[in-house]
Amino acid sequence: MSDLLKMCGTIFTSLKRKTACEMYPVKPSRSYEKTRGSIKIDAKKCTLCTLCDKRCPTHAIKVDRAAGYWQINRGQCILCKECVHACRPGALTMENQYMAPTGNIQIDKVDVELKTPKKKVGIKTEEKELKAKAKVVAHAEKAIQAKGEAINPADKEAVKEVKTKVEAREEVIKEEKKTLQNEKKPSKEVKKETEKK
Amino acid sequence: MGKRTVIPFGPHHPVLPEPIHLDLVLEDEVVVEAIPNIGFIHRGLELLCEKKPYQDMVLVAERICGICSLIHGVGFVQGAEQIMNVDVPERAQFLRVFWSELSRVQSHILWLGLAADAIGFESLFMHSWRVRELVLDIFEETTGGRVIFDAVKVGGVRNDVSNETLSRIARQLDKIESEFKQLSDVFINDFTVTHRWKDVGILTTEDAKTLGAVGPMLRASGVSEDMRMLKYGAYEHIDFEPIVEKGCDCHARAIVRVREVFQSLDIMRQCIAKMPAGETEVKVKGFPEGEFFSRVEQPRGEVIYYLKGNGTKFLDRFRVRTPTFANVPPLVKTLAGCDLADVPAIVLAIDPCISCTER
Repeated sequence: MSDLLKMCGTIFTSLKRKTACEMYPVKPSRSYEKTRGSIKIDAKKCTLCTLCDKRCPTHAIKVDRAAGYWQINRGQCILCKECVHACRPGALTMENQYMAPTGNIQIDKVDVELKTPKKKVGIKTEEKELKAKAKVVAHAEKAIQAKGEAINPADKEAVKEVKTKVEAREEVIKEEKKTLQNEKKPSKEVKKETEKK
Repeated sequence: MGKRTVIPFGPHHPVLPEPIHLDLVLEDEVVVEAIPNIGFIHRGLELLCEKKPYQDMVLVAERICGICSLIHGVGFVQGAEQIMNVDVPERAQFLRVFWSELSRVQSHILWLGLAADAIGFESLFMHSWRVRELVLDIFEETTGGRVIFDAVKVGGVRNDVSNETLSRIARQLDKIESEFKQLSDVFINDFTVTHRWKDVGILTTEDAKTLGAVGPMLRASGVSEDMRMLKYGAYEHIDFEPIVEKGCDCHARAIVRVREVFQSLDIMRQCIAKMPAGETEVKVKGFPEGEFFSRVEQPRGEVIYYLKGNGTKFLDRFRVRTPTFANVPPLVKTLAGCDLADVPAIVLAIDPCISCTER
């Protein structure tokens, strides 16, 4: 007889217990910090770098730089978090609440402004570039001397123009360098003096 | 000899969560022969290795099965790491073992519930799944997923678990154990359960060996074989003995799973106690070149992963042999000679996962 009543303990304790089920979606589902609910994007931070697009294993994310939008297919997304790890500016985050259920496949499109960062070129790199340009100009001049009148006069003028531009820029850079060195030197001297004191 | 009839069993049947078709040749009420037929849900996951980079294939491997997904990932990752000679940090190894055992608990409690449902014990099914919910909560807290975890990757694990969380989980494990203890008593001793499962679906020790049964099916026939004894990953730091029953019937298979739940809870406690500090992943450079057979123990038995890399980011060949596939010949053997009414109980006793089998 006791074999028949093995289940009774569990049944009586569960009479007192609350129901184990939850009233989702009337009440929000319980979630933890790490729960993978849905991908969210902050359009202000996004730089349209397309890293998430390249990294997505299911090709759910589409980034178009020319049209300026970021798009996710919620039906294809497997919430693997690869895009969140790949996102350098931190625009993508994982929300711990699930998306509300829908009847059809949901494709979310977010318009993002393309921010082109200004290129900052240092003096040293510019100097290198100018030297390379000067070499090309010298080579062209040699070629002009060798061939003489066979070359188009328009080309000759173009080479001259480039030469004058390069020379002018080189002079500017030389002056900038001098001013920079002057700025640096006194600072070192000042430091030495302060150390002595 | 009476008149023979052929009854189709499945692919749609109340006890089957997934589609397998059996042609049962009956003589009166007794099954003479069972002819299995699979291939209803082939997904072509093995061929995907030609289209997806090997790092992304971990995600595919985890989706081979919905119940033991993490261990599939571990099997794949182990193979890739062995080919590329990657030294995985100890903490990552321990976390993998911790999650593997957690998914074993989850899978066994799920099966026990389903099996109780198959024999008509609805309330036991309900309470088993209530306990399983506690296990899923731990999964959600540590990995972020409830069924598919995406927790492992080549070179380590994706997310770390803090030591405070682990010590809190240790207390939750005690709660799970006390809750499951009440149910386990029902599974082992209850009159209805024993009456339904005792001496049903006998698979002798010899047959189990010759037909190549794996997992709880093999251990319930008195063979002590467990792939965890190969001491892969962090299992070398953990003490345990494979659980063996000598009943050879469906009830023995249930008892093996019940006892394995307690064993897994114990292994998890050992993991938490021995968890080393440190990194959870290493950066992996280069591509796999070579081949490797990776063997891991799943809730259902041994799973074999064969990986062959050719030095590019795509694998040459990726092959999986899942435990259910290995358990189909023993199933056919046990079905011969049983009553028609016992067929659902016997089919469920191998814990069929057909989606795994067909990949």
